[in-house]
Amino acid sequence: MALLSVDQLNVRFDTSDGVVHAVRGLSFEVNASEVLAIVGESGSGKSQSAFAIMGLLASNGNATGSVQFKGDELLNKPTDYLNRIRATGIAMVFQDALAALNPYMRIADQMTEVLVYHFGLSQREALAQSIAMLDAVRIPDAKNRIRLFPHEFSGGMQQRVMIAMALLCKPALLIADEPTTALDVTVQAEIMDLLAEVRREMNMSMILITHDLGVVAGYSDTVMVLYAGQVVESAPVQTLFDSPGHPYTIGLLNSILRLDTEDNALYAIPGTPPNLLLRQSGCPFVERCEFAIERCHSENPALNEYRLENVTRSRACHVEINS
Amino acid sequence: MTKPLLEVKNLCVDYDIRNEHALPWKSPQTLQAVKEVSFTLGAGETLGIVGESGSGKSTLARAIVQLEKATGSILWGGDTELIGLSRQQMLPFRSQIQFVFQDPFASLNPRLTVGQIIEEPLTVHQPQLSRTQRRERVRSMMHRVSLLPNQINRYPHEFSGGQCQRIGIARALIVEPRLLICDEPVSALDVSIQAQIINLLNSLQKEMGLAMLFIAHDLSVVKHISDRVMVMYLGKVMEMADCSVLYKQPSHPYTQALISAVPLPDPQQERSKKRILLLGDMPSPLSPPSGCVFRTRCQYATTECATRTPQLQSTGNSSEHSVSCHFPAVSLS
Repeated sequence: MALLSVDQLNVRFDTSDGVVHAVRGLSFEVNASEVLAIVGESGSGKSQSAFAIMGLLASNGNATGSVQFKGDELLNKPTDYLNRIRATGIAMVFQDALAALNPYMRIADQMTEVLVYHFGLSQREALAQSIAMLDAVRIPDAKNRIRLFPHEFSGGMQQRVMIAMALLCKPALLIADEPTTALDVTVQAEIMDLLAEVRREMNMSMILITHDLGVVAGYSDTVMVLYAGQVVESAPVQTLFDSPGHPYTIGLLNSILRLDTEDNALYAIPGTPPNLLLRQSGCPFVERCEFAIERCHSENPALNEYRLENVTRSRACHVEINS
Repeated sequence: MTKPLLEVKNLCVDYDIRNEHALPWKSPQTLQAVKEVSFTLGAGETLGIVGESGSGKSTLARAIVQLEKATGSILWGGDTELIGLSRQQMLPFRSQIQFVFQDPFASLNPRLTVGQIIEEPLTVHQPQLSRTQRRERVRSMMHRVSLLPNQINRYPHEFSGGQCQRIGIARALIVEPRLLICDEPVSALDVSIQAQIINLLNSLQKEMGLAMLFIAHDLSVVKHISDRVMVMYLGKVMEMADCSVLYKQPSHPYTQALISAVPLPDPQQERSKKRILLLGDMPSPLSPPSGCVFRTRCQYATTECATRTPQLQSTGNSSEHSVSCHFPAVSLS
């Protein structure tokens, strides 16, 4: 049985401008010790699906469908119920560490709180474990620096604190929402290596949410590409990079600025993502797609599973593409 | 030989930092944000500036347009010294040097329409133009950055990030500057939109013969747009070279580390490549290390690096390639 299985997840927001369908019909599974990367542009619904799984949607958000963690239904369950699974079962690392940490609490208090709440440890034990965890994520002089406030750390160190805090209860699944987007490349490399290392050692699964295909290439097993709230393609990482099957994935891969090519002519996907307030009938990518046919304008393609060269993958597109 | 468009010599920017708990008679500490930076930029050329946050890239750009107080020399067009000019004296040069900022939303006035935003520099710099002439210029500029004519009366919040950046570029280019300074123009944008903006900047540069200073922390972005690249660390220039040379043969350990840290969008290559890790964090710019500023994070550092400050010197394999290191590596294997 999969560790996490999401089935037909829909997320919508009621706003003063109308209903925004942020996530539509999202289904996927995460197995034990697997890394699933969710890729997409801003507004593609990658963060909102993570928030829906964790029960963290904004008050005007509404999620339907099913999210099962080890067989337990999580969606729309009361906070008390979710709190037993948060941190111990599923933990989350947020993009903006400074905003996610409480600015009024010392790191020590924020970290021990987690252990005291979930495991009923004494303050002294909790502090010792927190310091050990900060050591593990390579924060120098953890014993003294745990007394500091979040703003006294650099961006990379704040992200390390967040990761340490997420790992405190040894979760089975870590959701990392753009963990390195706000950081410098050198720090990004360190943080991603650190995450990969602890993940291996703790045998933890991870959902890695990012827009950086370089990070995806280095650190994931399976990739799911989201566009306008829908999955357009899903495949094992090597397959996706070798033979992308959806026009959007092809466009994304072609438009990445790469260090390892000489070519200076850069492909750009024309246009911009659709407005999610307006519900289209056809494929959400149709306006920007160079392969589009008549049918794409009227009918939204379903996500179809298929096998190619002994690899099971899926894509949502009406057009045959030989890449 | 023609004179370079911009010649910067020994540019330094210092900030006085007062500790909030310091006693009133204590003299403030000096933070050197930019230290002795020198470079030249020819007409139509693009110089990329890279470095981590806090390396002084933005301060350098702001100093060139006199938004920060600087010492040293900034020679414009081979004969005009910009440092020390009053606001009034600086005005004619402002239309020749324009700026595109990082945050596409914050850099546009939310209460002005797109037309007014793009038109505003004309009212300041070319007051002789009539209203209709100005409108005509705005329309043709909007067309060049691929904004639709019917968008002229809309407000910035109605646009996406990429479109706002196009508005910012149109505003900068409407006065037909000779130098465009882009401070992280694409780092806030999505991948597919980044490519659009880079292509737009590249084609506008060719059309208008613009020189560009292109600041970014992303080395792959800089590679696609620059002729030469300057790598900065803690306010100092670590390495400067032609774009093709720098990425093939980075000589400074910091450049090597930066390049090796960029994730490659290819699973096999990315997992097999050797990565040079930097030790620790960037030191506080208030108390930079003695000698070479990079030595605290450098794996090759010796005692010599702590005592003697390396100067920016030519590597010998090309006159355009200079590096500030006692032990410049020959090439990255």
